[in-house]
Amino acid sequence: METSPNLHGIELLSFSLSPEPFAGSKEKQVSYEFNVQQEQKTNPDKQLVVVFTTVTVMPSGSTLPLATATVACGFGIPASEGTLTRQTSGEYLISADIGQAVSRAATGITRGILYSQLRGSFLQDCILPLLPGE
Amino acid sequence: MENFDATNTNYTSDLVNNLLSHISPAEQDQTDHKMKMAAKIHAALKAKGWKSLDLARELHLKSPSLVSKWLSGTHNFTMDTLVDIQRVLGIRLLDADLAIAPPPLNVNVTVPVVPSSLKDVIQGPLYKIASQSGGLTGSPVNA
Repeated sequence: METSPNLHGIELLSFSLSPEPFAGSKEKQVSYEFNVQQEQKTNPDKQLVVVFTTVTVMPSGSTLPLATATVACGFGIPASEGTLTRQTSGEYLISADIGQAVSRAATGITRGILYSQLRGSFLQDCILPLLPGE
Repeated sequence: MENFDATNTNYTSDLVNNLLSHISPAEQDQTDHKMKMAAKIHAALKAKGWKSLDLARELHLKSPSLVSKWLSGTHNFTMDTLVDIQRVLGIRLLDADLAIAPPPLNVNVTVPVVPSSLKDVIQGPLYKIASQSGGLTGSPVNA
């Protein structure tokens, strides 16, 4: 019987990269800001949790996105009581330890995919730092 | 006269055994190397489509009979002769280089690949999981 989430699959759902804003000028952007959004969804029949992670890279002090990637990571979760509970609102509640585990794993996977996608571009040194709580 | 395959003849004789017992390992090693050297030169000649005469001409020998002697496997080659032969034939008979070529590294890795079925899952019915405190996302982070 499974006792921890196992990675079921990874999909890069979308990726976009803007042209270098300072191309041709000597001024180089050295500081970037990351916006990370995560959403968890589940298919309770298959005991699957899919974590959608969207990372947006922006120049510091700007909201102009330079690169955006959305990655879906599917995890099989243990089929034990209390792992997933349906609330009256229709939403599901996942146990805190499993929810945090899949969230951290998905963030790490997205970091790797973003790094891979940005290789060779003007953002190749731009690596998603460790997030608080990660 | 009856033909027979000498290589497949399992022939034993006290006389032959007695003669062979007088050959020291060092002498056997020398003979082996002479034979192998002759075989290597012969193979290189064949690969280039040359006759003994061609090799004799390339090496400015007076007679091709010397080449025949080399190919008999009994000739005690000098270093100069071997260097000349390997130069005109384009082969390596001597390995005097100090550099040792590293052995080729062969690594076989077999990784079982499970096809991702995430696309089907994403397209299927998915229910939202309520966000909890202690999540990783939130305010922007700097790099």
